[in-house]
Amino acid sequence: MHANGKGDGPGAQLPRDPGEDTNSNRERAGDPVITLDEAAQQMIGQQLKAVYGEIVQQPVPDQFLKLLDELERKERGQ
Amino acid sequence: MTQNSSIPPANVRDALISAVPNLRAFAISLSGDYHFADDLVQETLLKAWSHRDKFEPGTNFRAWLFTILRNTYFSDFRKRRREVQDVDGEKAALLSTPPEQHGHLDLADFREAMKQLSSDQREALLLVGAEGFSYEEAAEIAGCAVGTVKSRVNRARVRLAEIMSVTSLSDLGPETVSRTVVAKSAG
Repeated sequence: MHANGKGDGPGAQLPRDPGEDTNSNRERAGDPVITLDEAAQQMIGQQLKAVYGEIVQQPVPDQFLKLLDELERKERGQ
Repeated sequence: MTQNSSIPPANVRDALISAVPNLRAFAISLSGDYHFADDLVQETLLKAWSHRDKFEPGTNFRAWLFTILRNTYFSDFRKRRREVQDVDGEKAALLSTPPEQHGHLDLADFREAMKQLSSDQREALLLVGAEGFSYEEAAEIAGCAVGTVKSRVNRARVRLAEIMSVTSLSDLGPETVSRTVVAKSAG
């Protein structure tokens, strides 16, 4: 029984779990850097803000207001 | 009068409530799941409330809250992802049905495209592009180098542009394409 066959490929050291790569995910020096032109960046930016803004504008759900009221009340009671 | 313990609870409450719309938008956009996102926001509010004496006055309260939320997301997310691997189809259905959708077609495409980014790219793009944090603040929140945030944001934009242009090409009709292929292989 051999333990090789996994874990020793060229990609074995690459972090795969998004939460685990916070400090080790630097760009390698050889990677080509592609950037978008100004117009494409603006288009992406506008759509992102539109999608995001739609959610921001929704009213605060009651559950959060109740939660914070309750936390505050408990604190006062002590 | 010590600074750290002197924030009146009512002020903390108000500050938290005024942050909720943006915390929610971030949680929903990051996770793509309304139910999970509201759990995340709730957890974030609870943690912020109980650890509020750890907040350093004079630093950015909003950034502090975003840090709590993303840390909760990335720790919970890893656990949950292992649990839900078999119900991916169900989850995908949830992802694609935001309530109160009054967006246009191209925004629906954009939402879909966002889901195809890696979660670290999506996080960076949301913090910088949607929330308007500086690269430095975003790096602080995500716990990584400023250069890493910059390259993630850049890669996210490039990837979105790729996906969006592919999508608009496929608007010509995938059926037309596959029928052509079938006709060719049959003839």
